[in-house]
Amino acid sequence: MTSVPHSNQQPVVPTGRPPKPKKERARKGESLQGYTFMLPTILIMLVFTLIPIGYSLFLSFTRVNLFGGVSFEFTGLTNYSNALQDERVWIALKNTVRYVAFVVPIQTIIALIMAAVLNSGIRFQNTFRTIYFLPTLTSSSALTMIFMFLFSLNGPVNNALVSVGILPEPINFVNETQFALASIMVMNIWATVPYYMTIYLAGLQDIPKSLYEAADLDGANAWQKLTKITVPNLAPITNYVILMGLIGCFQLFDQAYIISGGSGGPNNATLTFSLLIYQYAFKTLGTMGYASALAILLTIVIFTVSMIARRLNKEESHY
Amino acid sequence: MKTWKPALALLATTSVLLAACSSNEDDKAEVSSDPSELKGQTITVGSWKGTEAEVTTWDKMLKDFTKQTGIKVKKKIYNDYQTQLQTDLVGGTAPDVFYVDAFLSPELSKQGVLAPLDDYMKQTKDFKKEDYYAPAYKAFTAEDGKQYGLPKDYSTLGVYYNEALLQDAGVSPDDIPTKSEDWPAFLSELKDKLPKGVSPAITTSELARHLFVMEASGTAITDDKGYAVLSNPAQIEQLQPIVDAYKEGLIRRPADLGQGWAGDSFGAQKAALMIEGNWAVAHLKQNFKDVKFGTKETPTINDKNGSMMFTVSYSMNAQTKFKAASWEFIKYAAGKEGMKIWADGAGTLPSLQSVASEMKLEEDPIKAPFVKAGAYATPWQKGDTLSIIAREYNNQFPAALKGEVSLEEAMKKAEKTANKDIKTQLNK
Amino acid sequence: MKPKKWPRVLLYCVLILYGLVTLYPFLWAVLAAFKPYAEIVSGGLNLLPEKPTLDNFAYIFTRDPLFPKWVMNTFIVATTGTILNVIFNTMAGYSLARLRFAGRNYWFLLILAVMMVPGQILLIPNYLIMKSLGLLDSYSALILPGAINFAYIFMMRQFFINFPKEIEEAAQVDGLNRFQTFWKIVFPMARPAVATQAIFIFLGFWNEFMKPLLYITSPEKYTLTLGLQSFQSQNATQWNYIMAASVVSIIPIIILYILLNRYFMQGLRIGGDK
Repeated sequence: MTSVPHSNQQPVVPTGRPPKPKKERARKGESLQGYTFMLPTILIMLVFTLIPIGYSLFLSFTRVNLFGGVSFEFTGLTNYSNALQDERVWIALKNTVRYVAFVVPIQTIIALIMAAVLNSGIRFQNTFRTIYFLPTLTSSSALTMIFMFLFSLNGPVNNALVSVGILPEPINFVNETQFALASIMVMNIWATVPYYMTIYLAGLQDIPKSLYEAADLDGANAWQKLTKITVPNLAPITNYVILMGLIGCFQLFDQAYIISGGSGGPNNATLTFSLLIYQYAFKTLGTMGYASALAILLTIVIFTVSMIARRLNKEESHY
Repeated sequence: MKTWKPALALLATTSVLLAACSSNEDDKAEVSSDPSELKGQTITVGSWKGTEAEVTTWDKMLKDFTKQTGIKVKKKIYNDYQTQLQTDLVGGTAPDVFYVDAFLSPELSKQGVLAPLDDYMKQTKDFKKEDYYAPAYKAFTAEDGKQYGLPKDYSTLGVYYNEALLQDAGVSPDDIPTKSEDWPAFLSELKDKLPKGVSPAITTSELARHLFVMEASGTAITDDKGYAVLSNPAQIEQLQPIVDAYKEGLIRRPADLGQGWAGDSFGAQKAALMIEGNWAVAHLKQNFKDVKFGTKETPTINDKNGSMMFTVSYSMNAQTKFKAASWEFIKYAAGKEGMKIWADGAGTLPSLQSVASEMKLEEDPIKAPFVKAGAYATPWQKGDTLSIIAREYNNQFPAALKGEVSLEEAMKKAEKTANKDIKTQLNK
Repeated sequence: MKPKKWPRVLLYCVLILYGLVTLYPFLWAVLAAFKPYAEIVSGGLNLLPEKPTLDNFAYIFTRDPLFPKWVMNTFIVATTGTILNVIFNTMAGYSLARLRFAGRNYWFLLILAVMMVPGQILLIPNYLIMKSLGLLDSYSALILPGAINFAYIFMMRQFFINFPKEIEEAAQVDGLNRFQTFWKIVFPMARPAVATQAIFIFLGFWNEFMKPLLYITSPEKYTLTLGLQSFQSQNATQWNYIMAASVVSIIPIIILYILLNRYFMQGLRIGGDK
């Protein structure tokens, strides 16, 4: 065991409540400062985010036709109870959760490790960093196209797997019920790792060098430094990466839409929650209320999962 | 507790917003007896971008319209038609005249966002609605019997063949069977003669391509209330050959070969035959100049001709402030003069029979099969439930192609899911 | 020394391999811009064009005389938007991390929650708001709602949580008030996070598609993505033009990255030397 030197500017402050203030007056001043700093955010959020969300929330309790002469019919919780009885909702939820459960941990771990390696004072680190950053610039339509080709029947992935003997014959990954979602997973991990890695890299700059120097004196190896210093000190950033990963993955839409042509097929394999919402919002007319209810439900699901994840990560960082 | 106050404020604001977008326009037709009084008015026309040729021709046609009538036209080009048009309609910012895909026409006309054109047509001298190809015209006649748009052109499906690939295989285009019953044997023979990695045929497997095949059984895919009917044994019998051919590797879908759509697979010479719409002609000529191809009519089913028709109309916004000018535009663009410029330059098929015969399209070896189909093709349209039915069909059909489930099971599942959704969501 | 060498070599191998895996599709997309259409859809994974061509670029540059205007528009919108974001997000993130004010936790949770609402559902209400504010077909419609970004407020908060308190305390001892401390001390020291934020926000504005699509109608006000998108046709995706367009549109980002490069790796670096 390596003992991590106790630094007096302990950076491991897990997200949470600050210590109780000493003076009431200082607190008031700080409250004013706090709101002044938040003012632009609050204003813009109110007009451009909270009002639209309130509108959708309202729609979710109605059956509504937004065209021409708008007509509302209050239906109470009907949209919600319909959703809970809708088999497609449960399939979409299952697909989405499966997707999240694979992609979020994998992309987070790879991003963290790659960032740590890049920051470890290796040679050419600037070059590597630039190379790893570039893929975040690839347009998503181009990406999807490349991946569709990579995974197609005569594509290189199949060629490689068949020639090595892992597969007896080529598999149509993107269009096979069993593999369609997995293909999207691979595609997305590939596409998002560089982004989170860049953020981790920025986070690594804030870890005091002294921690590593002290660990070196104690003869800690690279792995120990990673698990005892880097990971705990990056806990807030990891919180960010995981939460943003959760939000992004739960809202998976583009690739599922492109691959299935909007239907969520084959046999519901790529039916994600956001795709479902889109279908009711824009593909069938007069179902905006149901789409809104689904959106609210998805928000609740993401929120719940995020809070659990945050709790877990917080606990882990306490050592 | 705290979250309540903002929530109430939101509701208040929301209702203001909602009130702002309701309409109270009357739908009386206004036809100008003296078009010159419309001079100087500006109308907005919403379209989407087609091929390169379409863009150039669009400008040319608008110019000609302005020259003739003095009415100016502002273009609004949709890149994401369905999303943008809906946003526009809800926001009350939709153009005065816009494209309506036949597929959406029943839903939109039911929502009251389109102006019925019947009175306009009646008040217009020499307006001959019989001149339109019947399936294309009827695609915009709603359940209430009113006409909600005039077709600007149409597309149908046909068979494309790659001349070089067939020649190397020692097959003449005349050998391509005209009866669909003969296709499996022909394709399987062709398969052995083609180089490895080249599929005998390529097609997209969607309801939009299969509707006429299913209905060749004599059964409609919806009942009189709009519920899906997909698993009738007679329908399954019609579809089964497609599934069997796929399983034997005689047909491929573009995604199987790594392309986005069949036109690219055919252009890349990954398939010898293709069933596609006539829009592929321009695409192949522009992007795959080296590929020589010919076209034929789609094969008959039970000795009857069949194909799909895709058509788009010019429709009038029910809320337009420039009714007379908008009608002038529709009359022009969906009429002889405008359509001739359009069809000539853009290479699309004119929906007026007189224009088609004037352009001698029946003699154009590439376009003739598509023009002929104009008389018998099934429009891609079926009431206001088609979007749900198509979604479930496209979702389940691939599973049957793969052999994961039988075709019957897949269709039963699609039918059941679609109908449940139609019942709950559309309140049928 | 000897036993330490092998892990190093292995490490570089992994780095290079991963570099290839990530770089390949990117390079493919870039080089596809120099290929004719037929070669892109049929050519498989070849990186280098068989018949290199500049036609795609010639097409997108000359297709519409408004092209330079679109670049300019995008530049104005993206730059203004990025500056506003960097200021507002950093302020909000700092406040959420370091200032004790009533309701702070609720605001934080609210910011998290609004990010979780699926965007598709908000398109129409947003459009109605833009319309009622009279912002349709203006740059404000692109800049105002995007002047803050919840994801980066959240990110900045996470960064400031780790920020050493001593620095602020020292500043206050020196007589700086909270705002001076923020601008003169905190903001400059958060450079890696701010630079990271700036580049991604700029990228976001530069590539923003949905907002211009819905809000901007006049061609002379188009942004680059919208203008380039109009090269695409309804029936087929003209990959050759799309690829050329994306190459053109990433150039400014790469320049920005190079400009900001030195800030990415310049953090506090405190500790040993303090």
